[in-house]
Amino acid sequence: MTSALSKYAFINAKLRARISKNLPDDRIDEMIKAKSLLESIEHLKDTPFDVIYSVYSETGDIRTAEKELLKKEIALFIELLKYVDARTGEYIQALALRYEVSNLKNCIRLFFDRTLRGRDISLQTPYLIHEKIVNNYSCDRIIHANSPEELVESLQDTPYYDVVKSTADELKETSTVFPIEIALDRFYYDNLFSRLSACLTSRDKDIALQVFHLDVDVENIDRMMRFKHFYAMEAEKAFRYIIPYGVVHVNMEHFRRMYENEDISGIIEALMEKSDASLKTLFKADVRERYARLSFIEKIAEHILLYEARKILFGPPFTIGIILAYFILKQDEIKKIMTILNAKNYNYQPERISGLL
Amino acid sequence: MIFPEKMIQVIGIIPRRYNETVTKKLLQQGLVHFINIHYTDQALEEKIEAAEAAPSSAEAEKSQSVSLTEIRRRAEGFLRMAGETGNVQSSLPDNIEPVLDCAEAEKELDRLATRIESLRNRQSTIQTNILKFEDIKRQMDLYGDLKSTISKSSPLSFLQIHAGSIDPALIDGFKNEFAALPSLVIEIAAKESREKFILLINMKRDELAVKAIMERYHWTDSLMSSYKEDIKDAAVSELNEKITALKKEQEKAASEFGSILAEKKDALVEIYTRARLHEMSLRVKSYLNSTEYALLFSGWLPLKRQKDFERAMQSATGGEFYLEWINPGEESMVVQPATPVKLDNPPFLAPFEMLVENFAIPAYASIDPTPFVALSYLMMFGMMFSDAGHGLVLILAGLIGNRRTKAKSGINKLYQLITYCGFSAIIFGVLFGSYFGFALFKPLWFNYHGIVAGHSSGNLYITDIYGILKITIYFGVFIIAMGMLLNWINAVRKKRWLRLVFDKTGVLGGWIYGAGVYAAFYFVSTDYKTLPDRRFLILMIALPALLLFFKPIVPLIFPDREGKKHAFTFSTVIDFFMEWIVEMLEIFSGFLANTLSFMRVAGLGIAHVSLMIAFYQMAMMASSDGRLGLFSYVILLLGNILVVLLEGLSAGIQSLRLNYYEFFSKFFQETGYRYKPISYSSKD
Repeated sequence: MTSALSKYAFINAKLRARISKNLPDDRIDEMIKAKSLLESIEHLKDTPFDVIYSVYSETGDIRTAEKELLKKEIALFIELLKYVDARTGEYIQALALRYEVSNLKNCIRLFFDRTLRGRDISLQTPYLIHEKIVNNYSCDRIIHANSPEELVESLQDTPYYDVVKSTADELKETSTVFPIEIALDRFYYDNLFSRLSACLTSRDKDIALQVFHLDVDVENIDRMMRFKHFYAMEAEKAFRYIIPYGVVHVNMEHFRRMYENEDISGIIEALMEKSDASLKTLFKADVRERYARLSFIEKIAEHILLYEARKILFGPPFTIGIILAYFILKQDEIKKIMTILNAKNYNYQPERISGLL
Repeated sequence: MIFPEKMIQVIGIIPRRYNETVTKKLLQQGLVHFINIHYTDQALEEKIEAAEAAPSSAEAEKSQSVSLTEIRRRAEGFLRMAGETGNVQSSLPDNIEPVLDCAEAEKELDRLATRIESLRNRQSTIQTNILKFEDIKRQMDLYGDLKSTISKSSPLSFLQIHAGSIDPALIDGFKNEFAALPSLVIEIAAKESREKFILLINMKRDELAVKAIMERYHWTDSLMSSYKEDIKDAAVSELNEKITALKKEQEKAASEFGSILAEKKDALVEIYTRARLHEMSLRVKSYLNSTEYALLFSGWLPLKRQKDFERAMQSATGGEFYLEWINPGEESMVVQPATPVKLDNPPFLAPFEMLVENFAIPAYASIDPTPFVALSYLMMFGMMFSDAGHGLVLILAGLIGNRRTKAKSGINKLYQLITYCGFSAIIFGVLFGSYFGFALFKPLWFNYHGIVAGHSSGNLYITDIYGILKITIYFGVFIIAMGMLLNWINAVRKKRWLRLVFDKTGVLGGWIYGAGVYAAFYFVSTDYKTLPDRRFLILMIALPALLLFFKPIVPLIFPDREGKKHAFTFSTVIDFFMEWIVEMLEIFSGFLANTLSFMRVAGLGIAHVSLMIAFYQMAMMASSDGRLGLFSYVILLLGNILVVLLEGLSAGIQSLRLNYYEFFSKFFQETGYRYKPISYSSKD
């Protein structure tokens, strides 16, 4: 107990203070209903997202503001490393890898656009994060690579070398970045789950497992939605890109049925299996008739994930849970806010924006 | 001051033609806490409902109210962007007509939004250029040796450098073409001839586009070998100049934002104000039940303002009004909801009123504990934080904070509380002779430091730590007894006789507590050997304890307020016993714990003194000759700062805790709700 206390006491206080400042729902509503991007951003003034307001006021550029916000979040994770022991630190690094993988995927998309599609990427490159997050790699080398082989070479001496090398041929064959993106996501989750076993105590591990299986579910379902609705991909092909964790993964048959026929009953049962009784009642009523859609399942998975993350806050305070809860809740908040602001930038109507969240 | 203000309910009937004037008057006066009228007679309710004007206008007003709220929030948002909000809300004028043309106001706000957004777009374009040049600069800093990269590609750099020339007449067009790419075009004059060279720096990834432009402009490569040393300087300085110029342009654009808002400030304030007034007047109207010829309304107002209200009605209607006044609890034809509560304390007690309201609003006609809290809170704080020097620091901090914050705001009241705590600390510091941890003057009561350090206290009666603990126990007994007394007063005023007698903090509870305190002190005074005699114990403790057994029986004999008698079954007997046993346990253990809880006052006071002693000893250890040196003073200064911050916070929290849990729990059984009249300056 003493060691758990000394390990997590400071972080617990720091992150709880930050979580308490999360934007309330009515503020999010006001942002959605605001008449313009300008007025929507104003609601972030004097909040933990003030950086968006101030950078946007100085530059008029929402993407620069988004980049600064991400840098601030990354800085927090790097700061957290100072307050934990080496083993927990490895786990926090594994979490921070999400930002790194996301940035790397952006670099690879730019490489793909420039080299294989011949597009001008000069307007996109300033928004890459060049600073080191966990590992050293050069964004410049990636985006300047002239072939998939050079791309692989640009990642030599990084943990991503093997991942990208194994999918480079597929990139050429399929002419899409999916294979690399999915391989990178798998790498992130593989690393996260292996760190989970190596670095955490059994109590911390249980908490983390519960949360990240759900996180993978949200990721898998989101991906399947895109494959089905934007690319009309065959189930067989789409399922090759599943991240092998979470409820969806172990209930593949239900999920396949859902993908092919949009019959979501089985997958709901599977998602609810380990969940709270109150949630079960909430989603049970007439789901089949009313919401036979993939997007509804995604909403449920997201809802359960956030619910579990919030539940952690009421559990034992001196565990890894607080870091996980912060990570999940913050990711969700950032995603929501950036979705709203980008939608406002494109003059979407409030109803459409609400549908996107 | 001890009780909330007396309220009275008004039911008003006025001719419908006075709708606007009465609404305006009611808003200006801001006196009525409006309520919806419901009649005790259902038939009458239906009859009046049938006579009410068509509800369509109510719907229209509701939707208008929504639009007004939206417009007000938009205007408020723009004002916030200009950093103007704070004063707008509190300075709503009474002389502006409460009407806003929503369509026109929306257009005005849309125009402003469009203007600012076009400015932001301009900023965004500038930013894109800044980012492009910064990208080049970053590359130059990373792989900086430009000499080696001219006209060839370094394996590391992602820049391409070309030196060459084109037809001088085409130079502007050439530059324009490259403006779309992250690139730099620099003209350099050759030293040995009048010829001008162009140094072109671009990103390697744009190689194809660059080549195409070069071909179009008939670019001729040149070696420029003799000018290599100038190249990097020229490129860096050109880049810096460009970035600086763009940043200046960006700053100028950003400052234009302030100018636009300053220019529109008056218009925004007017939109905000009118929207607010219009909203409020619609809110008042929503409470005016309209029939074909008359308007009916009802609400609460302070009894002492009854005449003011009558005068306002007189001036708004020229005497054509009818008012019916109903006292709280009085029978009438309308259903009377619970009376709202307006605490009636002098302004200097505002911080303590805040502490009470933070817990709950006392029920109407029950005791407002604000003055008692002021006394007990400050006494507890003073005993825990008894140092005149530290008190002075708190006063200064409180006064500075008070000056810097908006009057009547929560934070302002907090600073006021800190100031009061400072005075309390000074009084107790003087009583205990502590000045920044030093005994500069003789204590008026006893030497706290002396006792903690094991020296003389200078007092005959309080000679050791037990003496201090005893004081806090006496204090605790006093606070608990006061809480019980307040409960009895509340029970009598509310005619809750069962509660008065049988409540844990009722007469029987007080009887047991008083006897228990006496017995405990008697026991201690006999060196923990003897209790008071048996007759005392039977009469003063066993008898009231037995009488408490009748608590669940009384409701069986006497009907309650709703006239319901409770049924008696076999299980009721078991329930009686169980309830009685639990009640006894709660009374005995609860009162003991409540009283001993006050020992924390002594605990924190002792901690305060101990910390000061520790810092003094550390300061002495830092000096080599037994006299305080510079380093010693630094230790003392840091120690004092730490003690003021940590102990100040602890003492403040513990005082609050003792008030909430040991004092309020004795009498705060019913809560009320706040009196919220609708006025121009209503908060929501």
